[in-house]
Amino acid sequence: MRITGQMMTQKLIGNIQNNMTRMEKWQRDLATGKKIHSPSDDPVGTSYALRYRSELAQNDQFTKNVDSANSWVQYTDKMLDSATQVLQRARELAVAGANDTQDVSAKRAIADEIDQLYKQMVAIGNSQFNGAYVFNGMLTDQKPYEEANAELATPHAGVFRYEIGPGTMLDVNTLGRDAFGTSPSSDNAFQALKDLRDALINDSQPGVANGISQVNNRINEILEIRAGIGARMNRLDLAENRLTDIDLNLQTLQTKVEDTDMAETITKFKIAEDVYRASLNTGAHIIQPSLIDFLR
Amino acid sequence: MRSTFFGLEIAKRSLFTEQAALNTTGHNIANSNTPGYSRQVVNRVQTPSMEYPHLNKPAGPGQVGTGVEITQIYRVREQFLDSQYRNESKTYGEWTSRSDILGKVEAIINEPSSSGIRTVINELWTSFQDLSKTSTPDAAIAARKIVAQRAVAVAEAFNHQSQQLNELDADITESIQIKVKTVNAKLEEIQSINVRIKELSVLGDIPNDLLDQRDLLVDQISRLVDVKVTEANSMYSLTIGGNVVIDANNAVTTLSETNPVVTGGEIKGLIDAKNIDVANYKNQLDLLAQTLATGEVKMKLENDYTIPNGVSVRGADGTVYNAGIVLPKGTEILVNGLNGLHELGYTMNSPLETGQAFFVSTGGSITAGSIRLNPDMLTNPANIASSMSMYNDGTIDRVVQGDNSLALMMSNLGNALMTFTDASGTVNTTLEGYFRGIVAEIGVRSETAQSNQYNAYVIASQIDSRRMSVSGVSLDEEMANMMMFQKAYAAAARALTTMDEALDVVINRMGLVGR
Repeated sequence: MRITGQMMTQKLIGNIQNNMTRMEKWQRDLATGKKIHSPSDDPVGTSYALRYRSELAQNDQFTKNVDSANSWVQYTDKMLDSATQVLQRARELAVAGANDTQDVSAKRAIADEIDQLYKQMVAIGNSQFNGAYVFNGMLTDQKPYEEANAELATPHAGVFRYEIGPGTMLDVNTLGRDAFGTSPSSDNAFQALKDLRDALINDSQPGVANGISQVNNRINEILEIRAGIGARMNRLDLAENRLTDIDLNLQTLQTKVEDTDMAETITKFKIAEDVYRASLNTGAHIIQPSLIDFLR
Repeated sequence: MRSTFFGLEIAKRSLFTEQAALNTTGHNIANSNTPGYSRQVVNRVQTPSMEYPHLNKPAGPGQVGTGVEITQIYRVREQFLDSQYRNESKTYGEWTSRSDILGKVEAIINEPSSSGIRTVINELWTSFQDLSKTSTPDAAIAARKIVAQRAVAVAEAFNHQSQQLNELDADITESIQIKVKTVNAKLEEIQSINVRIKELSVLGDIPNDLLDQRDLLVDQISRLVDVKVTEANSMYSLTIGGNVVIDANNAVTTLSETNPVVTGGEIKGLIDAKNIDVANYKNQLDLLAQTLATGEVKMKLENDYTIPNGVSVRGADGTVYNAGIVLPKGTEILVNGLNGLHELGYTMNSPLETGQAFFVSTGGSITAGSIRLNPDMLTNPANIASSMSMYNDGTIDRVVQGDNSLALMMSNLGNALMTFTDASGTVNTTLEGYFRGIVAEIGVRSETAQSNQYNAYVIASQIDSRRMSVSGVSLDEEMANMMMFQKAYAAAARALTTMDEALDVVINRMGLVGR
């Protein structure tokens, strides 16, 4: 084949261009730490990368939801703990009041204290978490219990849920109806406390005994509900662990698809750089001499 | 009897020939870097010899040479390589412009990134999740403001991409026009060169440099369009896209600037990029925006739902349920996108009212370019519905604000399967799944275009280098030739001098006897 100067020059320019393009690609991968810069770099990888990104964002949101659910549930539990303490105190007072050795004025004093406990119980029933009434179902903006006649109140029965995993819902709120009893009903917490108070005022021995059993029933009911809340907290813990695992998995997958393998890329870059230098060097030698330089 | 001065004639012919060869070498060196130049070679032949004169018989012992003459100065060129080169140049041009435009589309898509359409849609879903967790009026308004901002971001992302695509489309149209103008101008040039070549050829001349120029022009056109050359009576006739643009009578039919008919080259690449790549992506983006707002989707009720007045609901089997009917939690219903879903719920406003369309259009049907958040929701975020139940507070109906079931359903719209029908068929996937598909499709197209471009480049440059091997000027070769011609010239001059001296003897020193 006949070789001409123009041919060699063009080939040289083309080769140098190719080498530079290759170096530029590795350089970009190294400088950004990413190997996908636009979809055409790796169409399949891009589609995976997009999915991992979305799933990671969703996972973050679920983790936030778990946290919110956790604080709501824990708050409810704390309130129900207080309710139990109130009822236990009422039972202690009632047992003392049931004793015949107490005179009428002492019983009145006990009745007064039980009335305070009733008010305390109403306050618990109206407890708010971040400004929302926790025991009023979905009507979180409405106060469920009126102090005058809390035993007659029918709180809202709507259960709302948070999403704590893809398609996984968790009931967040505890219904006032379940925690404090339905109305009218003898084991309604407010009814029980009012009955107890009235029995003490009226000095009715059987009334007090009856009231104590009502309170006992309510304490047991609340304990059952709290057992349910405990189970929910366990579920939230599990969900949180699972979300953490998924997060780690997704990040690993994302890194594999999107991130530059530094060791490999630096090696490739070095090779490309050597080839580039070689092409420049040979270029400098090829272009220089021709017959003209030797004719005198 | 031969002429006394015959030797002078031979030497003169030799001098002229070598001089012409030297001039041609000079011309070659001068044009060694001229685009399209083919090296020229002087074709020399012996002049007809004649009988050697003899005393006895006319037929001598041999014939005597009479010197040299130039028959032709021709250019070294292979037509076959030209047509091969033009064929590859056409393919290279087509994929160059196609991959260039696809690269721009990829830049518009801007994925994978943390600010593309995927991200903003995702943030809309998570803002609905946050809304689902707010139960007090204050927090609910704050969360709604965030939902509204996220929705604005979604609409703007769509609008922005749509606008960029429209601009790209206009740019392509303009650049097609410019390239067609270039082709048309070159056609006119070829026509005028055709005329001059014809004039000179008729006289028996070979206008090498005009031939080179004409071939160069065809080479240049071949990158822009598919051009086929036929030569008759030393004139070129050209066809582009199957239509004759320069006919045998040298009449030019220019290409249409608005709708050029071509089957290859940069112009074809631009037309395809416009009509296939950009148009497809535009349609897909429109479809995505439309489906997000109003695409039919099957959703599961997150709470018992009493159908409000003025609303009717379609069950999964198509049964229509009217106002007053109670659908239990878990019932599957069909709704029309985010808008249809939103219209099922109650806003936070009092008196009680149901939701309006979430996304609206700035005019006409909803497209990527026209989609925007219902302005009422931006001015008053309370217009965003998240609840699906109401109660009567003794005097009027009110919304149950703590009911988050609609917010949950709206946030889950992103995970629901929807139907998308575009140029490549019908798919059942999530909104994001469809978007991922679009991105991957553009990626594959662009990748293919790039590799096609590279392959065509390699082949075209190989052929071009074959052409340069044949037609290119080698300075070494020219130098060697120059030495050779120069020496021959000097020798011819010496021969002339020798003849001259021989004649000097005859003319000046003979016949002096007896003087």
